[in-house]
Amino acid sequence: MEAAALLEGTAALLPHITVLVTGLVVLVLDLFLPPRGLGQAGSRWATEAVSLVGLALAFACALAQAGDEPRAVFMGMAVVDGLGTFFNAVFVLIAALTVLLSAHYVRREDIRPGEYYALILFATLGFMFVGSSSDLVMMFLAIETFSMATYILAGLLRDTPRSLESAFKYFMLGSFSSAFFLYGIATLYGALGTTNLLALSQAMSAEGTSPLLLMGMGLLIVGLGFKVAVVPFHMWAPDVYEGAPTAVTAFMTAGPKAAAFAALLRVFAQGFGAPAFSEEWVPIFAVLAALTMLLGNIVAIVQQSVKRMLAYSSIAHAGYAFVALVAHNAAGAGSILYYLVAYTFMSLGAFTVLMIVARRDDQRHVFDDYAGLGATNPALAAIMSLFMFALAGFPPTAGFAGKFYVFSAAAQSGYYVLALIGVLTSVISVVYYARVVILMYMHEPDAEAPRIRLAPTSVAALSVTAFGVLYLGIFPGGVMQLAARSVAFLFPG
Amino acid sequence: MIPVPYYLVISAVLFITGAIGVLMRRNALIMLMSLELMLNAVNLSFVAYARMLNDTGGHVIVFLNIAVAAAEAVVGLAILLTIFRNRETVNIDHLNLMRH
Amino acid sequence: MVFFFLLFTIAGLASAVMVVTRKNVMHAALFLLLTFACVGATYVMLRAELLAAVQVLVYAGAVMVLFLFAILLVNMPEAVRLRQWTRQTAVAVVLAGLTGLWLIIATVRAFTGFAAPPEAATQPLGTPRAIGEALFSDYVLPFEIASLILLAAMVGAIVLARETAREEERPTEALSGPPQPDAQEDQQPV
Repeated sequence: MEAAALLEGTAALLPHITVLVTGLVVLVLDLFLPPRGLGQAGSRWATEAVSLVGLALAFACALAQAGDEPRAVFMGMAVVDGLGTFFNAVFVLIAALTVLLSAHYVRREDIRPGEYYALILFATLGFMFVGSSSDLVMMFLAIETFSMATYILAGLLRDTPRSLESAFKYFMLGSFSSAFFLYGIATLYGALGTTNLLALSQAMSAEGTSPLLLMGMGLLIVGLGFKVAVVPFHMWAPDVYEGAPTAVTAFMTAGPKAAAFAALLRVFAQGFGAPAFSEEWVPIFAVLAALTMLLGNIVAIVQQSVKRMLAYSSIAHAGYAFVALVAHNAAGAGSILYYLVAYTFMSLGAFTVLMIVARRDDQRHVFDDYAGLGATNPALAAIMSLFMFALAGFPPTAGFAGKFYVFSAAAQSGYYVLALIGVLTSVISVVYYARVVILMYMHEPDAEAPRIRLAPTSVAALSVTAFGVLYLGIFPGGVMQLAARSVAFLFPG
Repeated sequence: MIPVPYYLVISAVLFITGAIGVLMRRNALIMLMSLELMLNAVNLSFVAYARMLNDTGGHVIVFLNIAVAAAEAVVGLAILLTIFRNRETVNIDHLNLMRH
Repeated sequence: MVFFFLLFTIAGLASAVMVVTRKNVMHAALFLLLTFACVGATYVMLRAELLAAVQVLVYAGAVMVLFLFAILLVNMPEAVRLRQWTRQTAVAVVLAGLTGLWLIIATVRAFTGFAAPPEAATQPLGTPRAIGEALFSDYVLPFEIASLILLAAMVGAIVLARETAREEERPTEALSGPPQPDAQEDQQPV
């Protein structure tokens, strides 16, 4: 590669490189600080501060690229366009919020900060490369990057059997699905001679379908379906989300899920976007979306653990976002982006509350642990109620706006049944979200439970997420327009 | 000269053997080995297609895959060893704390 | 040529089936080694010479050694049950079998009436030079990401498998040295 192309590529990937350098610095940082006494606390603050500064820089770099003309760099492997930039910003935001909410968790559970934050940053890097990839090989490697980091993060509480079980199940099913994804890539490579997504979309509109291409597409659906945890590939998610350390679960519901949707948008909305193919996968996705919305919401009702309930809720929300994929137009793709941002705030906020209520050893997650929270800690209960209502889809929260955009996009494309299922299941979901609220305000608190004190970083995390949920709910237009502009190039004319 | 599609069929059979191994066996180590079988099958597919298209790109992809598969084996074995240290077993039937 | 194809393919598939069905984990590991070797031989037949060498070095060499270490560290005295035919397993296996059939049928259908590629490749295919040129020009970014994956895996493996804090404190006891043996023996009751 000539120097000019190399420089151009590096400049284009500046947000990613910033996150990478931050990750490397954070990894090495606590080697240079003394381990005992003040040094340990100091090293935690230092790693968190460095992480946040690095993420802020990456966010600035991402914003600087907003509005750039779509261009491919590094021999067509990566691409700078509206979609990639939007996702870069979202992933950096997810990472920053995770760092904020993990600060208290890391101290409470005595986790070594250097590797924890480094793994979070490496995972974020993987997410960003998924969003910016224009080649299937690149996407596969990016998926493997964040998957590897997340497998480890799930098993971080090494003395807790549930955490290890979560890590193992996540690893096993994650690698299983990666193998399917890879097989799909191999098949497409054999059919087209290339793995580049842009070449894919052009070749397909010219040639039409062929058995090999359909087989490749099917394998990719299986592979990505596992990653995003839609029914019937969802079996791993409840156990993995429940067993993982709560701060990591928060990260997992936001980051890998958004990255999986970024992959779905790139592969299906962009790669397989031509009508010859979309008439194959759109019906499949419609069925998957319906099943996911139904199963996620119905099974969530019978859960005994709030954490597990939120895991099923996460599956259900992936189903809602899937409906927007089915719509396969600019409104649909834009609403997916909006929904992912909204869901990030709601989910990270809710899991922060979970983390706080669980107290030391991350154990107290059953519904009864929330009894009477309205009396003992009114602020926390109020914020939790906000997140519950947002997840259920009440106005004026981001949850309502997100569902509105998604279902109206589906209705616009003629998928009335899906939109109806979505609305009905949202109504059903009120049952289990309201259960938490009722317990908090209408039941007596456990008299012996120690009082919950909130760390400043947790307060910050809760404030930002609550603000995000309300702001996006009351003023959805700004972000929605941004999202629509970012995906406009996918649906010309 | 053996036509390339034969290799592709072999790759499919290998892939499915590995998949059945992952789904069927209860020993975590054997599950990991079956996973490696699946990845090898996909690599074989890539090499066969590369031969058919006369394109070295497929070889490069396999190169990168081998690295990724090695990394995956490392992480999987690390998780497995940590579980063993904690629970004294690698039989996944004993790993079902969260079935409600 | 046909003989070698049949030899390595059948050996490879047979040992793959063995991996999946052996009760003894060590036997399964050795059959996996054989599978890797057969796949490597198949690469040679497909003119992927460098890949065959890498396959043997990395897979049959490094990865298998890793597995063998793990098997030796995980000492399981009890007999491992071969299968557990729960309804779940049966459903999963049936689905897997159907998927396999679909894969094979789709592949065969896609290639009916397919002409064999020329005997001699028009350009060198699997040579180190060709791979190097592709790897460091077209695929340089994936190459760098692969190095990241390796870094993350290394960090992760160390994070998970290193000693816990309790074990780290024990070495200080050992360093203070064993108590004087003679003094102790004098104090022992006769």
